[in-house]
Amino acid sequence: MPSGYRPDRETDFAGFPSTTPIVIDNGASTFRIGWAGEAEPRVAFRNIVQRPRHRSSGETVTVVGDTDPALMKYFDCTRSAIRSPFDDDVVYQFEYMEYILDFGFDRLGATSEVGHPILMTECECNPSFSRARMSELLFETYGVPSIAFGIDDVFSYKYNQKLGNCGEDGLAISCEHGTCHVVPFLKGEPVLGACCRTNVGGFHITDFLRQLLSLKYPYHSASITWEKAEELKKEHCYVALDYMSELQIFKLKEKKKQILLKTTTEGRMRAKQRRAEEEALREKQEEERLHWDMDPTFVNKAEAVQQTPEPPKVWTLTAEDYRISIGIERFRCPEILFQPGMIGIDQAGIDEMVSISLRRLMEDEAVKERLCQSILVTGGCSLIPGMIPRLESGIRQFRPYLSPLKLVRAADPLIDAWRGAAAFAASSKFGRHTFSLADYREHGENLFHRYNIVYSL
Amino acid sequence: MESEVVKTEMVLAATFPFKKVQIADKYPKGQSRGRQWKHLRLLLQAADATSLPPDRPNYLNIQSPPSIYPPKRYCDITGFEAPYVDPRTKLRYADPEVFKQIRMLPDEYVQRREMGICALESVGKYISRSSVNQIVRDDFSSVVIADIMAGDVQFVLYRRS
Repeated sequence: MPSGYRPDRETDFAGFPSTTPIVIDNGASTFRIGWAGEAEPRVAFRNIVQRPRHRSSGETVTVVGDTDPALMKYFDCTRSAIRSPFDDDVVYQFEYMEYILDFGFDRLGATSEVGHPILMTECECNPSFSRARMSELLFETYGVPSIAFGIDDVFSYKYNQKLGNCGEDGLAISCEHGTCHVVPFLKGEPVLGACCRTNVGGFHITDFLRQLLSLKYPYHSASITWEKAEELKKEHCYVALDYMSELQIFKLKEKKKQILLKTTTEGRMRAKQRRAEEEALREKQEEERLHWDMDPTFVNKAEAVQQTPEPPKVWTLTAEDYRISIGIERFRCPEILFQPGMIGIDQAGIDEMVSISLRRLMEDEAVKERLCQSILVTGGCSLIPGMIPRLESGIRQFRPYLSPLKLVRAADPLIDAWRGAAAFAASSKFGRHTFSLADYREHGENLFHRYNIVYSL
Repeated sequence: MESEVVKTEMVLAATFPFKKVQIADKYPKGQSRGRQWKHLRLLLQAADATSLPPDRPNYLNIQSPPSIYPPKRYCDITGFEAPYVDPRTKLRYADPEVFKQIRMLPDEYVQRREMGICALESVGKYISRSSVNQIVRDDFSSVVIADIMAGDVQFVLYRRS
């Protein structure tokens, strides 16, 4: 999705029968909405809200998703930051969520009412207060007839299972926007009791990169925005296969560079200075000789008035000052997924999470071995180059010697969750997993304590 | 509202025909809203035992425990392994060169590092994004991105002066 992209409004909303569910992949980074049974989401945009003030009229307006930065000049953004309805991977700001849903349904083409069942994705073990407020919002504000919630990583796994990328028993490793998850699957169903979450994700990588760059270039710190850091991350970051040896290589390079720079620049400076001095001396002698020839009483005036104070030195900016170089940051930032301690998060990294999940599973070694032969890596961070080999070598350290291991990247780590959800919503069994307003009125929040859908179609 | 803004439909409409309750009715104008929301941490603390049953998987108990590996220390500036700590700023550093650099940093860039948590100052101000124009790979395999923000930096400078 290019930055500043605005989705167009769909026009065929009225053409769908009211039984066709609307599928929403409510991811912390991207909101995707579309129709059950279709291959692609109709509308996708960044899950963010801005509420700037319009400069000429002074009214506060709401802008959802990415915008063309050129148009932001009409708005005063000094007092409004970019907001997300998410804290980690849980929706907690329902006012912002409402703006986002407004925009989502509007782009999908809703006109008189949203009269379709909804399937919405959520995180693993979403707290019931979040589910309750989300259903309240959907029922009372949008008049939705029925709702189902499902886990995005599980949908992604099920979709890839259908494609043949992974088996009935397996593991899903998902590196998302705000968190990383490992979910084991037995007989095609997720074992939530054995899943594992670390609160590090792509957001933290970008933020870390931004902090490092603004520390390295304090002069540019205001212009290295989160969005720019995100672009840099997508284009240049990679995961080192062995972090310590990669560091060593870079340290040697750095030293060589410094020595080279020192010798060359110093030598050049010295030569330049010497040349300038000689030149000045020669010129002066020349001038004096000239004057001497004409007037023997001549006193060099320029020399006499030399006591005037020098003009203050102005630091002129060169092209060098507008240049940013990222070297070690390229693999230092993604490394926080494997060592969350680097940014002060005291939790296990994603390779270790696999072993924690397997331990929590409390099954015998044969089952674990079967699980390790069908590991699916999904989520936006799995697109960082070098992720799969590194994960493989990391997981191998926790497994018995020579035990089989197979990792596959999801077919499309970004959209697979939506596609899996769309396939699930299109099946005839979908109706069994939904709940209506009447159910919610009867049970209240208790409805969600034991709410878990069965993913096998 | 300017015509180009209207054309791109970037501003959310105030009312939508498909909504039962409009946003303006829910959050009336001019009324102080206060802080109606809490952070997730507080919400989880406030959640009662039935919504977070200890015997079943819940949001809190699926968290992963601390790593079994001893934490490695990295230099806050260069990212190399850091054997030393600056007692004043509590920043970790790799060699004397970096130490000089740390001591030269203005105070606002370095929040005191407490409990081993790296807390560098975060400067967040929204300025329009520019694309990366030119990418040059140098001999040392570190990537130099040229002119990435030339336009924007000038914009910032003018605004500040």
